[in-house]
Amino acid sequence: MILTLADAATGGAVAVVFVFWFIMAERCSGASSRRRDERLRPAAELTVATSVVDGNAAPPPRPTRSAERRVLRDAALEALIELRGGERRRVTELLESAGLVEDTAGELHSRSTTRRRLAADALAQMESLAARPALEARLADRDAEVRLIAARGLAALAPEECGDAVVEVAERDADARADRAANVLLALGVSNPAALARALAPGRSPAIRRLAASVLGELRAAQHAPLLRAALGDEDDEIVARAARGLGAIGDADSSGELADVALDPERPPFVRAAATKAIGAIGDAGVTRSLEWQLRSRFWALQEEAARALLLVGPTGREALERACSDRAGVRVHAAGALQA
Amino acid sequence: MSSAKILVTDDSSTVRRLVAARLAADGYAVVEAEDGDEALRLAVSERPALVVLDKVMPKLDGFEVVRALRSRAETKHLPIVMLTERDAEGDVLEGLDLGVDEYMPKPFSPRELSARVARALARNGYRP
Repeated sequence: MILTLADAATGGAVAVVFVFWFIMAERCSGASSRRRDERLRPAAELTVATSVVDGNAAPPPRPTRSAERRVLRDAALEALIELRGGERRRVTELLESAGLVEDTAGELHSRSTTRRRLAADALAQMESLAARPALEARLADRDAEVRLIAARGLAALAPEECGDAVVEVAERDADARADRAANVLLALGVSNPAALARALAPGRSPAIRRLAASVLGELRAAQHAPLLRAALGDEDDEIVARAARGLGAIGDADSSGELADVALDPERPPFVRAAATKAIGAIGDAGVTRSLEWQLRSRFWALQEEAARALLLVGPTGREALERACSDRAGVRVHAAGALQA
Repeated sequence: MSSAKILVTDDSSTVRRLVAARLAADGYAVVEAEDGDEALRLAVSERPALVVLDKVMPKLDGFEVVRALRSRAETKHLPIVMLTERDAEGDVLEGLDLGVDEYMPKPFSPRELSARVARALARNGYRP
């Protein structure tokens, strides 16, 4: 028994020493690796800067050591965030000529989820057509983050060719990862606005359609107004409200009449009607003053508030309507007076 | 070829290198600072013809550096080109109030930045 306890104590001590030694070795190795990266960094930054400044310069020799390749890639990725236009494109060409797009695509096969996510993110940022096949293959990755990052990358890289596949990935994960799916749609909307119509199509899930309606508004592009106007007649109240907000953000005067119809529709819940009323105010079309006056007399407080604010925004005719409403019943006066005093 | 000295201030060494390489290729002499403190010191000791300044920096941010530069007699009229985030309308207005000469939203083009530097220098009487 005594012997057994002594053995256990010795074994425990050895284990503690081993763990301590292992931690110290890891720390030393990490510190040494950081110092090496710091030493390599200025040369990598200079290589990137030179390729940006001199578009006719011959590509630098391919770095052979893995540390050099990693540091050059990190410096190039940082430069990609800061640059735009043709000078950004030169950094992508540097990454291609140094074989770093290929290296990164290879990391997408890693068993480590974190490594695949980082690689997908780096490839998405590189915007190199050479990365397209690797990113397309990752649209079916078992990890949702990797799928969505790959979809975002492809949305910017090949929006025409990959638009459908990108929307399908966003749809698959729209419920669980709405913010990431919205980023995918945003990237798609910037590079190929027409592709967003696919996400809003009636056959799609409510989650992706709602996201598409929001993203269309966020982009604030007049070319999306017809899509959003069509969505004002949707059965899904959430989509109608988001479409109304989007039209208000765009300032689409052509939709004032349809927004007024939604605002006055008793079949729609108050939050939808309030969104439409607010959008009318944002557009500032005096032609719908009568509808807003009617809304000011609604039995819903939130609608009355929005109508009062909107009347103030449509200009002199709206202000006159508010002044008239100041001699109305108390439940109307309070909103009109509040808006005029604001 | 111009030989005006430009002080480039940014906490990102990548940005400093990109800007410095472009300006050097356009014939300017470049000195670099990695934070606001160093920028203020070099603005006095190196007597640059213009400062390229990032808005977001540790210790002193870009606006604090502008205020400090404008409060000293020797740097009061030093032209400043500021790098800001895109759509930072409030920053642009505040900077204009403080006396920033030019803005460059990020992500940026070093070539365009160099053109803005040349314009700010010309407006302030510098002739290559």
